[in-house]
This record gives sequence, structure tokens and C-alpha cells, in this order.
Amino acid sequence: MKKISILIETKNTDLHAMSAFEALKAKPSLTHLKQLKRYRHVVLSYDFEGDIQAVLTQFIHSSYILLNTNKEQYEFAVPSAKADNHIMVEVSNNETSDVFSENVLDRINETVERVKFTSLKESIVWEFIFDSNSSNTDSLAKLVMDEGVRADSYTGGLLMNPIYEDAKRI
Amino acid sequence: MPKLAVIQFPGSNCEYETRRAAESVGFQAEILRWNADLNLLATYDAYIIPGGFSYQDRVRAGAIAAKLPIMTGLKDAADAGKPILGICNGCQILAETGLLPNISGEKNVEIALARNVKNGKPRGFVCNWEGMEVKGAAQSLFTKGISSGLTFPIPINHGEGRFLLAENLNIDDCMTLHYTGENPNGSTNAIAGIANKKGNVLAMMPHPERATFLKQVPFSIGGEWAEMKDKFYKDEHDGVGPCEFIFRNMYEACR
Repeated sequence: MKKISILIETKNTDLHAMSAFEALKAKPSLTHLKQLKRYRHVVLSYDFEGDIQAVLTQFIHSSYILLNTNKEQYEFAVPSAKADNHIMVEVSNNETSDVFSENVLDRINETVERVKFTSLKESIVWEFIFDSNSSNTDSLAKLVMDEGVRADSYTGGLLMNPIYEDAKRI
Repeated sequence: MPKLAVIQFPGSNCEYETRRAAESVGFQAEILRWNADLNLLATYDAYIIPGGFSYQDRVRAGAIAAKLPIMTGLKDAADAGKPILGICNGCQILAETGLLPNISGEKNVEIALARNVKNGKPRGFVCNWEGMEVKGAAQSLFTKGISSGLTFPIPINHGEGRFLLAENLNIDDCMTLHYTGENPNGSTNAIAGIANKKGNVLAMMPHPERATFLKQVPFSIGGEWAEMKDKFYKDEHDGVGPCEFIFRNMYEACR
């Protein structure tokens, strides 16, 4: 089964990222955080031999099912950190049945006739960008997970609810 | 006269009717902003976080508000045994702070409010009157004197009201509210509200301030409450609505 990865971000100010940045930047341990970006990450599995990017591009621009091209831009890419002071974390739903992704998958398959998509997994990717002279990447990553991501207490992070979400560094 | 603070966040939209409900049972109720001085906050006897939104529900509903300094004041109030009620968005905020159910006693996040689901499909926003049942009434000041098993009508109005519990979390010692009809949002055990183990903090997704007065109950729900409303308009009933007892019990706890 083949897979294709789509990375989506807002064209204008991302208010979720802005508020999260302000909340996290106020923590004493994260004052050297310079920027926080948020992406939606969609991975589609499919069975098709042709040009899948062309099919998806046509589908995306003729529907608002996967994203809204008036407000969002996208690229066919796998998220990855661009520098040592960039930490990327993927937050995804860990429930046994992700009915929200399944619902989107059904709607895509109802619309696209040429390709059979077999699964869709959507997650949120957060990109933490620190001062370039920040400490080493592994210690930054630990700081991000403990202080920025896992919202398991009032003093903990913010971006992942531990009851129904998982987070991993990518 | 006991003083109650209705805490207004950026995006709250039920603070005025909530204040009205609190005043109706005897509270001196005031609307207090989210950035109020903590010393001022401490002068109140009881607190309500009303419904609506906070910070546009960015990241997750209640997530940003749960990190505000005012929450340290509410934690102190909870430890002191003062009543704290979170309604709808207030429920989501309290869940994110770990103030309840607080089974571990360490105020870790033990419950979550996820997006509504019904019959294996996304449910979206729900706005309806539902039946509600109280379980473990004696375990919370909000339901003191109420018979466990009491059912009453109450409106719901939310898109993220699906209660999820941490794995192996035992809430048998907590008062809980449950939907009596068809589960409208996929909540675990049809939970609509839950109090902390100590019994002085309650988070509930339905809106009791919209069912405090009998005149708020629609005739369309039928049954005894619709009949009582009919009597009210014939001057044969005092006009007390099905959820007034929640505010009255808060008041009695502060006297």
C-alpha cells in the first residue's frame, strides 16, 4: 500500500499557534522560544499507479473537504526539522476509532472516483523554533515534551491532552 | 450575605444569566474578570466559571484558560473547601486544570472533554434539552439533600462534551450526573458532569443557569415540568426551575 503525506498550514495568522506561543513563552523554562508554528498533517494510504499528486491537487482545489484553499496552503511533504534549534512534535488522537478521520476518508472516496484511498490519519505538527544559541537538540526536545506538550497538570505543557492524544518527536 | 464570583474569560457568553441565577438564591454575585487580582479573588465565598468560549477555544476548549494565573487562586479556593462550579466551557477549563475529579489528590489531568460523537460518526454541535440523573448525591455539596436517582430536564449546548476518563480511573466516590435518554455526545457512561472527590468542585456540560426558573423550561419537553410551568402561569406554582437546587446548595454551603 502506498502512502502520501500532505502538510497544511494557514495562509494568514494562525491564532491557535499564536495563543499557544504566548502561553508557553510566559513559562520561565521556555523564554528562549522564538516561534511556534502549527501544521495539519494528513497521511493517506491508497492503491493507484498513476500520478497521485495530480489527482489530489485536482481534488483539493475542487472541494473543501481536506482543506480550504482560500485560507490554507499545502505541500506534499513529510514534516522534518530544518535545523538543530527546531523541534518538531506530532500530536495525534490515540482513540481506538478515529471517527473524525474516518468521516473525511469516506467523503474523499465518495468524491474521487479514480483512486481508492484505504486510510487517512490526521495529526497536528508543532514546530518549536528556539534561539540559535540554545542548548543541544536532545535537551531541547526533552524540554519541549515536558514543558510544552504534555498537558498532564497545571504546570505541565499545553499542546497534548494525555487522556486521548499521543505525542512524539519527529 | 455570601459573595459569589462569576469569572468572565475572553469569550464567555453566559455570565449574566449565571449571575442572575446565583442572585436568585441569595448570593451577592459579581462578574469578575480573568485577570483579577488574586487577593480580590480570595475575598469571595464561591465561584462559577460560566459557559461560552475562552480564547476562541484555541488549541483545545479550555486549554489556554486553564493555564492562567487565576487558576492558582481557584486551586487555593478548592483546597479551602469553597464551592466551585464550572458550566460548559467552565467544565472544560476545570477538566484541563486537573481540579477534578482529583482522585490521585495531586491535581493531575484525569478527565477530558473531546469532540461529540454519536453512533460512530462525528456529532458536531448539539443544542437540546436532555434528561439528567444524579448519582452519589450525598458525595457533593451541590446535590446535598437530593435523592440519588433524581431526574430532571436541563439544556445542553456544546460541540466538545464527550467525557473521557483516564485509564482505570475509579470515580465511584464522586457525585456524577448522567444523561438519561440517548447519549447525545458519546460520553463515557453517559456522564454529563462530575464532582471532585472532596465534593466541593463540580464540572458539568449542561447549563443549570438556563433551567433555574420555571419560565425557562419549554412546554415542548412535556411531562411534569411542563405541567408545573402551566401552573406557574396560573399563579399556582412558585416558579422554581429544575436546576435551582444546584445554586441553592452552593448558597447553603456558604452560609
